Amino acid sequence: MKNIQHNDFRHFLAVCLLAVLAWQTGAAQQRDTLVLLPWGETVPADRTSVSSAIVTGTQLERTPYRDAFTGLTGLIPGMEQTMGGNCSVSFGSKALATTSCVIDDVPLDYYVVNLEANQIESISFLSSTVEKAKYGPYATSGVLYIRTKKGGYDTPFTIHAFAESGVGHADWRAEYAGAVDYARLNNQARAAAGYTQLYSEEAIAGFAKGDPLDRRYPAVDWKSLLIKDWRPTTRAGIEAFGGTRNIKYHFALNGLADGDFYKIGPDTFSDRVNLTTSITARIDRYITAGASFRGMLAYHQEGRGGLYGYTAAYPVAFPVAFGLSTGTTDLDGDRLGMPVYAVSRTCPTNPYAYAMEGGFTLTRNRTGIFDAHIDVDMDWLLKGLTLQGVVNLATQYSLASGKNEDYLAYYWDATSDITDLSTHQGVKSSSKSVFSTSTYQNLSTFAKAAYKREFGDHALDMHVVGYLSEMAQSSLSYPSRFVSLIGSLSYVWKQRYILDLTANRSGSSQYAREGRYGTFPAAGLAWIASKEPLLREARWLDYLKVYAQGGLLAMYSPTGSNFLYEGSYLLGSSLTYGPAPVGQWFGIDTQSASTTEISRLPNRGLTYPLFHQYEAGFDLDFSCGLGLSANIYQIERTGYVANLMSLYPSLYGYGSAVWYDNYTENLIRGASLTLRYNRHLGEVRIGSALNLMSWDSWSTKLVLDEYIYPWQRQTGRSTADYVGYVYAGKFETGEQIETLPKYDQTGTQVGDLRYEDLNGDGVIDANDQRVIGYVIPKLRFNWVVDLSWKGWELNLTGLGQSSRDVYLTGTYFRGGSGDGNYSAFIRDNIGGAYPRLSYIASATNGLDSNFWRRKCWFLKLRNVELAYNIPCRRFGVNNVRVSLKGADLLTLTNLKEADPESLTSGLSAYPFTQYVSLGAKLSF
Amino acid sequence: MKRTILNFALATLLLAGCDKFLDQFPSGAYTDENYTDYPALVRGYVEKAYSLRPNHYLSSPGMACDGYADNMAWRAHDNAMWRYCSGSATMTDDPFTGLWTRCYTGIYYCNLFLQEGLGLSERYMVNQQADRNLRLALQGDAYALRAYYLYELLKYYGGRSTAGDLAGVPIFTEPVSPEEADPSRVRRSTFDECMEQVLRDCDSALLYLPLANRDFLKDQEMIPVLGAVRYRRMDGISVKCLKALALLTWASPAYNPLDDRSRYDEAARTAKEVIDHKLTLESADKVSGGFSLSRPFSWCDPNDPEAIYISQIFQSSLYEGYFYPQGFSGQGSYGPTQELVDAYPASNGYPITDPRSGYDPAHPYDNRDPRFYQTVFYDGSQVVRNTNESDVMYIFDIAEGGKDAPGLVNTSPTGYYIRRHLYLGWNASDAVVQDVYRCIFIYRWTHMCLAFAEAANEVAGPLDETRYGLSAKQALAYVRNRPQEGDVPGVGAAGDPYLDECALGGARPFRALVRNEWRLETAFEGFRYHDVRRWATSADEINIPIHRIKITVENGVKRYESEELERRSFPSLWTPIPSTEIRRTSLLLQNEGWEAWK
Repeated sequence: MKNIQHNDFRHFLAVCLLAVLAWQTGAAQQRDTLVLLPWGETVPADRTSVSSAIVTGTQLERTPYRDAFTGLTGLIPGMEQTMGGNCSVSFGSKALATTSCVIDDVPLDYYVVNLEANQIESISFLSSTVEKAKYGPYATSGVLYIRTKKGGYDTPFTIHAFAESGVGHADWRAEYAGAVDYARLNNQARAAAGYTQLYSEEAIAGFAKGDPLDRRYPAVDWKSLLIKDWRPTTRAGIEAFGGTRNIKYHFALNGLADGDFYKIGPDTFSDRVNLTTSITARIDRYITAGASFRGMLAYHQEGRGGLYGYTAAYPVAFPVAFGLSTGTTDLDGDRLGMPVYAVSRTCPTNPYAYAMEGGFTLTRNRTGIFDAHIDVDMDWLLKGLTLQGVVNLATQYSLASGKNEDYLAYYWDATSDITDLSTHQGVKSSSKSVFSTSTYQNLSTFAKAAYKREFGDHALDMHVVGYLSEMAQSSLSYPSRFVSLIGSLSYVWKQRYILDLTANRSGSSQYAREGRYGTFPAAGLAWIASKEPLLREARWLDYLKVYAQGGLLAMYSPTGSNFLYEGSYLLGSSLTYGPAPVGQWFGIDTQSASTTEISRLPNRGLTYPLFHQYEAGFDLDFSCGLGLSANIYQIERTGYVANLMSLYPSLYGYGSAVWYDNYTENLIRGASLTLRYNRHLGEVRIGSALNLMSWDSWSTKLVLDEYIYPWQRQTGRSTADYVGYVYAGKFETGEQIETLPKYDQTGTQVGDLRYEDLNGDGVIDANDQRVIGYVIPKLRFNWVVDLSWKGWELNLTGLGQSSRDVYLTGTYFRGGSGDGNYSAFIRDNIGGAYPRLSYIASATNGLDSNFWRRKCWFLKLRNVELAYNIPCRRFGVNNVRVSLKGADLLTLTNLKEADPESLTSGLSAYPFTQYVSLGAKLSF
Repeated sequence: MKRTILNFALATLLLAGCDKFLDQFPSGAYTDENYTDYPALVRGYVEKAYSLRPNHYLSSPGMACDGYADNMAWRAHDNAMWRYCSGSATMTDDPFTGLWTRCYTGIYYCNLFLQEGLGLSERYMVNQQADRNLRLALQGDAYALRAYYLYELLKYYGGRSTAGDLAGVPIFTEPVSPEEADPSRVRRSTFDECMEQVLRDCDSALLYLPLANRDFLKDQEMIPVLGAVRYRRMDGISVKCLKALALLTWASPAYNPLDDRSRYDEAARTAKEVIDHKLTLESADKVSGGFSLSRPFSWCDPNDPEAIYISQIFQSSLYEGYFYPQGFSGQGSYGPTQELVDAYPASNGYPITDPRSGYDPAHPYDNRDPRFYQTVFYDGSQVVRNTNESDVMYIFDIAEGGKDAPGLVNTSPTGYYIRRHLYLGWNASDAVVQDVYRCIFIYRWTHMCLAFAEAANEVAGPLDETRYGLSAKQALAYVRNRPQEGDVPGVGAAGDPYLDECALGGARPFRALVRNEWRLETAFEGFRYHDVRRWATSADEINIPIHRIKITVENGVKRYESEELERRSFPSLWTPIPSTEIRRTSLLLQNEGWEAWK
């Protein structure tokens, strides 16, 4: 389970080669012949300029993680997926990160939904110009486009049931010095700063006994007291579906029970139950109607200390506890029988006591999504015309409640043992037993008219959608409202020349009347070359599509601010006028009046930020099973809303008011390339794909780019550029300190970091910072290999990044001063990768510089599944599929200090979790 | 629910008519669209402009202006103020940026009120007469404050630009919205244009403002909006002070290259109106507690009859904390210079450089102008409780080895301590520490006497009584004869031969005397920086060394030596315009000498 680390880049290359070889011999990732488009459209790939992939719910079942979307890795060309600790997952495509989802054509943040794999029919990722334009401004940064299962007409009643259970292992990265090491490091730090040392050799010998209750020399390993490495996870679910000639239905119920890494204190769990139902009926020849409901009930409980509570105290801060209150001394008062804990004046929190006595938080989250639709076939009026109307109401209510209790603790010190009662007095605070509630409501409705017709060589597919939504959320004072009218036309000539046109007129409540409407057009062209008479006969070629798209897209987020366009006036402080109270001779009355403060100036022309997106690409499939897709793109983002006050000289007198306008700009360029190979070799089926992505983005227009020296200029910089001081070695002699430029004019010592004096003015200051690194990888890739043989299946997905710069930040790496803060990294690297230990923190060494830079590449095996299908015909069972799943079991990287995918995981954020689970799925 | 859905469906079909659906709900917030419905918000523009005035002398630039010249030195050298006057400032630690922003914000808020008669057409009160009075007074406030802030800007930033012309600052008489604002077209108006604007606004203000914020000068029905309730706001008489000082600046050598004497004439006339006002309408003969030449001025009484226009008041022991040395619970942050100490004449009125003064360098602090003792603490000075003459709370020991000598922790760098502004009832070790109301005396009687004396002397010489009904000499005598706190008679009270001598000597010696009187009377009020510049013709006149006192004791005898402390160093007579302003505009010219601040 341990990560395998290799320093040598050659290992990385070797693994890449192996991956490529695996893919060369392999078979699973076929180019999809259908494309999902917004508003319920599913069209053949050779009838649209859009090129995208479809992932089925079944494919997502291979991940053991609690979030089904983590199973998407490698399955959608051009889509990146990054994870942090605790399976927090985010998606991106074309350099745009998003967590937005559209579920059954309604925009819903995915945390509202938490769908399970068996509830999902299909997922695609809307990222191309035409796809996004067809959906409208909500999709502009890219969205996961999800359709839920509805069952099928004329389908026998079928049941799938599954259950699986497994364990997760925390990849803890943070390790702090133990008691003896701590005492020595603290002594060393104090000596370096000219302070007396706190711990004698006798004390250190006492700490070496490692007794956490020792009243003289306590040595506490807080981490092993408080947290553990393993957590259990179990899930089970049942899915039933089918349909007659006129009715189809689908039902799924899933349960998940997840533990956590807390070792002591209140029970910790993260459980949920998730249900979906759907029924659709043909009412007569022309009318079809359906309704569905999705609901979730989730409970999450944990102690109030947090996973990193143990870092609040250092190993020799105090003994864990004194014992139980006997009520016989005045120290204990009337708290007879309560546990008495210790704290100290320098370290006023006892993490063990907090975990044991500090109460807990239980968060209950319930979601209900109701959806109804009606389809009307208008063939009788106009051949090819259909109408559809949909209404969707999504609600979520979240309540966090619990107990907020305090423990009883006395101050401790090594010489006088128990002293005074601390601020922790064991009080139960009933007034704080409810912490917070939050609500979310989204009402969406749309109506669609579609017209599809073919006339000889001409095929026409057009539709008009009117969409309207209102989203209210407890964090917004007013609901966001949005309307969109979208017209879309697809024209195919001779089955191979394709023209897509889309126009979108949208209105948002976030802007004033002057700026709230906009019209945004997009177009796509495609040529199905493989259908040209010349190539149609070519036996080696299966499929070749070449396409280009371009358009203007507006960006809209329902959670955006509502009033930025409006001037904001406030009554400020009240001033009093009149004579002073003493020595009055010309009057006595005073009078007060309030100032008016303009905190925001109006801009009624404020409007949507725009994306100018252009792209081109091709899909190519050879008859031998080899496939190749490529896409290059450019996105110019203009008119980002920014406070422009710093552009104006203060002589206009606006004071501290803000003023927003559409201003900043950014340019993205990138490409993605996908290689596929699918083959049946006898009974072995091989499917594989390798997806490579590369992009960069540049700030092309910033609000303020005032600079004195050219290296400070920000306009034109890549957003991945990292700015800091240029490390130039360490101060080695006192003479160097006197003669060389330094940042800290008074406190610099031998061993401190030296930086380049870029402007040559003899001192190191903010003007000596320049770009020192590049923090995004030049190349990202993900891959998937599926193998099957008879009843066996092996599915592997993974991702990786080429080398990039990362910087070690935070106290774990740069701490090492005062009390606490002595990490294993610091302990093991003093004078080397950690510059100098000092009780008084050095002003110089913690600055951002390339001293803290590491080059980092990685390759991760995200999901692995080995399954066996047991043919079974007993008890009504048709098939049993037993599978062993693993997640994040293998990481190859050259970075020792942190997780290369999420640098803070396991250090200051939730650790990465590796999973193994065993499960079975029964089909009836 | 059904209804909502139905409404939704309808709205969907009628997308074109969706403005209602998208309009924001009424939020109850004050916005640009509804604020005129709330008179308090419109009035608040004027109040905002008032709130931007500083209310104590330590607020920048304030008293620092004595340090930027030759009156004062800083103990600490880690501040932008010290770097500024020592020639080591960089554009990122410009001590004046706050002033620039503050003044222009004040002008912006005045303009918002004045714009299209907005403030004048608002209805503030139910009572029609009171409402009218208030409307007019607020209108006057807005004009007066606009003039005040523009003159503040001119005082500091007016000067020769890099193009060599005598430039003022950009003038705004209307608020400019960010949409309309075009920083690439902002340019400095000429100094004369700015002065004309100041005077124009002063004249507008005079049309609207009551004569003076005194209850005894108003009719009963003007209650509750006029009279004493307006004290600390501008009134007619304070606008005249502003006008007199502005005219005097405009007439001064640095800003009057063609030597236009009519500016002095106008300044003298305006100042004389204020002098007359104090001596007649507000005099103690007319109203009990009123102004009297025989009563000393108190820095600790914001209602002092000498005061004409003051800032907001506040109760605090701010000055005591900064001025006193460590030994008396202070920080010793500032030190008066030897130059200032030497500028005080002997008790007979002769300058100490004059042999007739009787000045004894071995006993430099004996027999000096009573104003010296009121302004500066020196070696051997006592801090005597104001309410109890026998309570000597502290004695300064500044000689080498003494607890208050320069160079120790929290002691003055010069060997002198500021006494002006201090409240002598304060003692940090009292059980209940006493403090009093403080304020900035923005305009007061003495300023007008000095302005008149300076201006009248230039027009008619020191002795001409007929032209203005008062001679420059008489005006100066008001100042020199005035008793000091504790009813100590003024330096010239029992005959003033030196004043007579200067007056007889003509405009030239009298000019030097008036300038020195400006320095003595307005020490630590923040006048000196501007005064030395308006009188100067080249930077050499202000780039001078300043000195401290070094007291050594040999065989029980003290030796007093003045030694150079540091030098003032400025590239020109002018103040730099904030570099960010230069950078964000295309046509705004920096002042001469500060070319690198861009």
